[in-house]
Amino acid sequence: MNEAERFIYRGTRGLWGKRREEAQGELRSHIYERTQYHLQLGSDEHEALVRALRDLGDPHTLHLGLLRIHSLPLMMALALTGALLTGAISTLVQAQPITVQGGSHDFERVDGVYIRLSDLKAALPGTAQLTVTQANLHVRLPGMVRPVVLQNRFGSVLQQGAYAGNPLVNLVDLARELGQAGVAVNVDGWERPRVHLGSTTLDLAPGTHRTVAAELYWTELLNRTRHWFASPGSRRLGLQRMSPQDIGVIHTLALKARPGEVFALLVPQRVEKMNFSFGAVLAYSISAAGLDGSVTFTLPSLARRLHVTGELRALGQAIDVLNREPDTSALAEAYPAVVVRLDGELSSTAKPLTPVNVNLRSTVP
Amino acid sequence: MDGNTLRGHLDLILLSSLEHEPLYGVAIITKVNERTGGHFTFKEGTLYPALHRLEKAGLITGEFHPAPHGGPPRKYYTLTDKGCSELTRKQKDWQAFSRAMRPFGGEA
Repeated sequence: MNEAERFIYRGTRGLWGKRREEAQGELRSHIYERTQYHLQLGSDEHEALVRALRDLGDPHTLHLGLLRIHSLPLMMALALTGALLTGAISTLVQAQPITVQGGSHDFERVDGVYIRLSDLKAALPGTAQLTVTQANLHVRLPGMVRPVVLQNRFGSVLQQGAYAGNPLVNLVDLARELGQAGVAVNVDGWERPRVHLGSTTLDLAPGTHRTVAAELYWTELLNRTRHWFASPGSRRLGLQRMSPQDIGVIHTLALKARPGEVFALLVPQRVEKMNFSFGAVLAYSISAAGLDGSVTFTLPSLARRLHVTGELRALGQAIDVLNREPDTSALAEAYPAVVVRLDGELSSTAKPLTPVNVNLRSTVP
Repeated sequence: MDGNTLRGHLDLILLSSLEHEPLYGVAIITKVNERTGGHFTFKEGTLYPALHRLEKAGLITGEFHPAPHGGPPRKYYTLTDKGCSELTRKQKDWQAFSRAMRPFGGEA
């Protein structure tokens, strides 16, 4: 499969039958036309194709867009049917994890990983206490001295309008708060992530979007990198989400990883804000290894000059350099970046992340 | 141009680009670029979900035709009657909005 066909395949996954055929035909025509255009401008054949694919953007974003139009209504119907069946079965077989209708795309107009309060109540042990006040949700699991509080005003609980009566609870915020309260919180899986809150397992429903897994693993990344560069000064490590429009550069690393293992690629950048400057992880990407053991990361174009190393300290060194350097555009060297293996421990803050030994330059100019 | 600004008017832009002739994806991008003096640039991959959404809503219809100079067939999109009405409605909305905002826009 060549690069164009690989892009087409990735962009149209999840579509079926005639729709898939037509979407693939349309993309094939687009790539051909744009490749011809770049050839006319003087690119060689390979470069023209690379440029044509880059102009198209991230195939994953395209895939999501097409899926949302063509397959999601059907998938949601299937997921709902599945949930009803699972609900019926789980009342008979209590040992099975309870399937939760989770994931941002199950709820229109809501960004983030949210689950229904009723689903959360059904999943947690009967002795767990969930109290909804006007603004907040108090959650107390067995063994906890005091409840954790999720605040409505920070979007951790959505209970206005259509969600009143059965609010949506932000699963990432819940995991973080419970983790900080000493509950063991883990996530495993990528296509269908399972979240373990103490002894309770939330099995996110089939059809749940894979960004749900990325959001959950992001919590781990945030937890376990926060202390690396913590200092009393202005320097701090922040993770900033990138908008879909910023995404454009794809890096595939042959890591020889086990399929499904989750990795993060971090790129440091200097941030100027007001009169302060600090190092931050401006660009990051989280992804799981495919069947061939390779991992594909997608990063914004600002990270094109990317030098991936396997050394965790590279990130710290990069931030040190960026902190000293008044003008980052003057940096002749590629930005160092680091790849780390994520193991799904959302509640851990002390355990270091495992850097992955890779050493190659991005092939994207 | 800010991505959010573009997103808010994407349907109007796409419907308008098909107002006078059927076009295929690359030609729509070129036309939008030309008509806006390069103000509207977006990742080309975001075009197709938007076109498919409009097609599903019955505002446009797509049909494959052979490319005149070779290569894979192109999918040409045409405005439907419903699409024409929607375009007129969106254009009126835009004109009203634009008039209302004029006093706040400063000197051109």
